[in-house]
Amino acid sequence: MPTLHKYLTSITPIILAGFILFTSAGCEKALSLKDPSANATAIFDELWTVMDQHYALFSYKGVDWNNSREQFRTKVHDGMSQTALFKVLSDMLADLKDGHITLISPIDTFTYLGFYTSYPDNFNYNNIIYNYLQDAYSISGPVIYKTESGVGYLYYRSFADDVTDQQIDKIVTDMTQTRGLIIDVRNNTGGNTQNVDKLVRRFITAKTLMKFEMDKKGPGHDDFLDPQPYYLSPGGQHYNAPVVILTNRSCFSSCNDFVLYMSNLPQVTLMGDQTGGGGGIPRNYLLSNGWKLQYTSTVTLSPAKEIVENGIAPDVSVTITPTDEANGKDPILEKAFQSLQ
Amino acid sequence: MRRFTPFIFFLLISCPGFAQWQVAISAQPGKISIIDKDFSSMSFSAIVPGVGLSGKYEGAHSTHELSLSWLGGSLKTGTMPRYSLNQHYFNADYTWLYKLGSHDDAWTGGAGGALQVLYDKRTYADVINNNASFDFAASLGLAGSLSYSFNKNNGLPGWSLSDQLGIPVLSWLVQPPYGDESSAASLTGTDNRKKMAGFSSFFRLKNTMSLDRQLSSHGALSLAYTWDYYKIDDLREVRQASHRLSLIYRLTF
Repeated sequence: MPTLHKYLTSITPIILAGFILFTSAGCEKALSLKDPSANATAIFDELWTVMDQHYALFSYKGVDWNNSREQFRTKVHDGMSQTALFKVLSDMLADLKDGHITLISPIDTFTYLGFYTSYPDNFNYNNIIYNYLQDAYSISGPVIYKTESGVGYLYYRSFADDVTDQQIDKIVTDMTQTRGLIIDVRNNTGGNTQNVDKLVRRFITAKTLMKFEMDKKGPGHDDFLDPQPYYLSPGGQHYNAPVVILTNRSCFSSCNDFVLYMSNLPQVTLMGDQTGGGGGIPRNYLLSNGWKLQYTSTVTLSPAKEIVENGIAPDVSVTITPTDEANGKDPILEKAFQSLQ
Repeated sequence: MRRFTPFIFFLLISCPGFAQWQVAISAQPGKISIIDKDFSSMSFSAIVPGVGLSGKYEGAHSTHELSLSWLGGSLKTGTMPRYSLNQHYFNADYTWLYKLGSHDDAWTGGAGGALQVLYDKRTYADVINNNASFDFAASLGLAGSLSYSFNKNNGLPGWSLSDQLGIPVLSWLVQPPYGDESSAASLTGTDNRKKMAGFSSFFRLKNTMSLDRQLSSHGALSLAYTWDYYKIDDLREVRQASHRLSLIYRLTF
């Protein structure tokens, strides 16, 4: 018996250890760390719910998201193909008419492009390069620029292409003797807002309010924090002559921010067509099947607290007709050049 | 020094006679799994490196232990390995246990409380703007331990098996604002969401089981298994589990 007692005493802690190990595995299951279902109905519900809780523009867009669910949920069933599911989700997202909404899958990508496809281009890059710059221009980072008859011109194709402070300083230094500057951001569909900030700092002389941003504070469609101000302070080489900014409908997202910031400044004139908008900040979410959803998560307001989601109107509206374009002419650029003479 | 004087005084008067100090250093690789529902409902996991450091004061009637640990690395989803999440998981625990049982008994235990602090920082490599987040929780809770010493009568002198469990009861919880988790997400951000949380909002279990071998009068080697789960059920829902296997060297003086 003493031997049995000794044996039991020795194995008890081992049994206890085993129980603890077994319990640990059970606890992990109880905390639901397994991946959720990736069937079609689950993916539809997940996408709809993420948008419902995080998308910032339902009220502004005037879309009844519950109604969208009723309309599109009936088209989804678990046996459907990935292609068919993608189409249903894309059609539902397209109703929001938001260029920041994107659905990326291995089979296809959805992006709403109506913010510019429904309007004239008002820009021809080849005409600029060959007929106006005559294929002779300087390059500093992602920016091409030239000085002609005392007026400077620069074209920043995409704010997704990073620019350094040194590169901007070089441009401003080369433009020092000009009596005016044309900044062309037509067809710039946005990118990194830090590039916008670096450029705008050259045109201000004091800390300046650029915009307000409203973040969501909860899942309700109108659950927002108070608008938060966004300021920029001067930096780098300063340019103090008049500026004309050329815009069209393809100027979107960060480009829209750039135009918004510059439109606050007294020495700046906007010329061309209204920008494409896209003021809010986009965010990503990974669906359970690995598809990536992008949506607008904030509301951007001008310093006067007006929503700029649909774009910024120019001070001077100028259009390029098909005849102009066929003849290699750019009336928007020419009008800007004349205004700075 | 003046700030620590009351604490040292408390230790001295609470533990007359028998007193032992221990310091320990450990390698703690482990597996972390996490679901951060603001980012995805997919689970990200990986086996990652970790390290730990602890100091322990053992008196006649109680023990006080302070332990620090870090576990971190790059996590991936099971089904979509192209997506990754970089994570750093920091822990700081202070545990006070009142001893149960005699020093000469095979079975001994302890019951008391713990102050547990966790800080989990995450950055998501493949997304824009909501590419960083964190969880911070400082908790007061209960702690208990159970140990078995395999003395010479049981044929394994110098070996012991112990288990320690900590359960937070009340926690101070901090997470980034609901709609804003950029790379600037910071513990000191003014718009962070902060709240006192009970079990319904913040639930955590942390258990460490350790097999110890006394090597000499001053040194001991331990193999420990720690599982640490927490779940935040708030505006930003997070669930995380970590399993650590630690090799610990303890020095007693």
